[in-house]
Amino acid sequence: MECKTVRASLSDYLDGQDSGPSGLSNSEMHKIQDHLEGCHSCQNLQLELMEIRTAARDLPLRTPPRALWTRIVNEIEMEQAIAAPPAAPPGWWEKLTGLRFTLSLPQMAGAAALAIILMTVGVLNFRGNSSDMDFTRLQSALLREESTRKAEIDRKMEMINERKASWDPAFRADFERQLNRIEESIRQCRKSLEASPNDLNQVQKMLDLYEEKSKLLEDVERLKW
Amino acid sequence: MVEWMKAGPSPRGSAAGGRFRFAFIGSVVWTIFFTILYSIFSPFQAGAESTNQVFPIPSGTVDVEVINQIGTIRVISANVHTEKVVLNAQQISGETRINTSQSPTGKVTIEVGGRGMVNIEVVVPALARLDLLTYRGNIEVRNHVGQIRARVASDGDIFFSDLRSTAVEGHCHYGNVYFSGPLLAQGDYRLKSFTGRLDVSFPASADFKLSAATHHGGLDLHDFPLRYDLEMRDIVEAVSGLGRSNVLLWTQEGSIRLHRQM
Repeated sequence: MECKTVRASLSDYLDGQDSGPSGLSNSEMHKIQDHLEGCHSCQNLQLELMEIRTAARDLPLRTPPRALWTRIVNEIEMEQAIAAPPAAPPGWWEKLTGLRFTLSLPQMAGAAALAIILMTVGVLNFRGNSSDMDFTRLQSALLREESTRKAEIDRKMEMINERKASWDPAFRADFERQLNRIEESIRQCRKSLEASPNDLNQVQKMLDLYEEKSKLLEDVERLKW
Repeated sequence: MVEWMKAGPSPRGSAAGGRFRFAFIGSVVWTIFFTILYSIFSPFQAGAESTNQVFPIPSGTVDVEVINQIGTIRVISANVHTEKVVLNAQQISGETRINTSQSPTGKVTIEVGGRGMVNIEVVVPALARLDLLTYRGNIEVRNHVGQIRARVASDGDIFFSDLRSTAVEGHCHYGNVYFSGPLLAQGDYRLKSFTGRLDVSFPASADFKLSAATHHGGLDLHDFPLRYDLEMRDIVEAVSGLGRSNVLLWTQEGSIRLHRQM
């Protein structure tokens, strides 16, 4: 008997060992047993399956919801209906979609455990990525906005600096005081943002302050000192 | 008269001359006294020059831009159908020049240049779009209907009252912003001050979406039954009624007070 055939029937074989009827004939059972005695890799697989079965026995018993039974019954009836009339040989797609895997309880338990682990890891990973993504998006949006505002402010500052020397000294001092105050607030805001980079409110504060600075420069330009 | 005053002394003439001199000196003293009093208590200081100008405008909305350096800007909202903008400017001190112009579309620009103080009063149609800026001084707008943008770049307060405008922006740096009056559905009201206070009062029935932020001051919003979407120490987003108008209140260092009109 080949390893491939033994592995395909191993679950049934273990069922037969445990509780008698398994869908395998006695001769098949003997053949598998003979193969297992001489094949280490199939023996290992047998041991793994037995471990899963043992673990599965300790799982709490869950009653499937009524809807699941109804679905299963419907599926069986549908399969019977499809199987009843003589049909043309199925194409590759029908074969693929028509594949039915027969899994024993331990195999199902193992698959379920694997699915749960994959889902948990996936969800955690997605959450982590999502938060990173938000943060990255936020940072890049802020940087984009900040660089736009900065460029605009620098352009205005350049124009103002050219004329500033001719201003009334009192106006000039007053303007510089105002500007320093806004810049100090921007520095404070940046510090807070560094401490909590995901804080959207800090981002908004920062943008408000840039707007304030920009408007002050705009006003001074309009005043034509 | 000089001859008469120099006439020889006679008891009668001497008495009359004495009374006349007394009256003359008295009137001079009183004149000087009243002149001093007037110059102290007059609303316009001595030497103030006034400028009055009328700009005919086409009916409908018109843009009015006023830029002052130091001094107040006061807007008097006239009838909607008024077809003129009237400027009354009072130069209080310093060397200033008032430049005015009108574009082919009717936009009126009033601009103060130089260094000095000028108080400006403009009478505009109620629907005029206003763009007001002063470096230092108060801005006052009442009963206006058209769009308003008012900015005090440095020190000065902004007073808005009984407006029926759907677009109001008031912004000052050191001063306070006062708003009192109804809010219009679909209206957008933006009041900001960097260090000053925002004092806002709406009728009890006001229906608005509020976004208020103060970074170092206090927030007093308890007069209105607000439904909060975001409630933090320094930032609030809330709705009153159906939230049909938008109100933005922002101050970096001042406080915000929102109260119901009695």
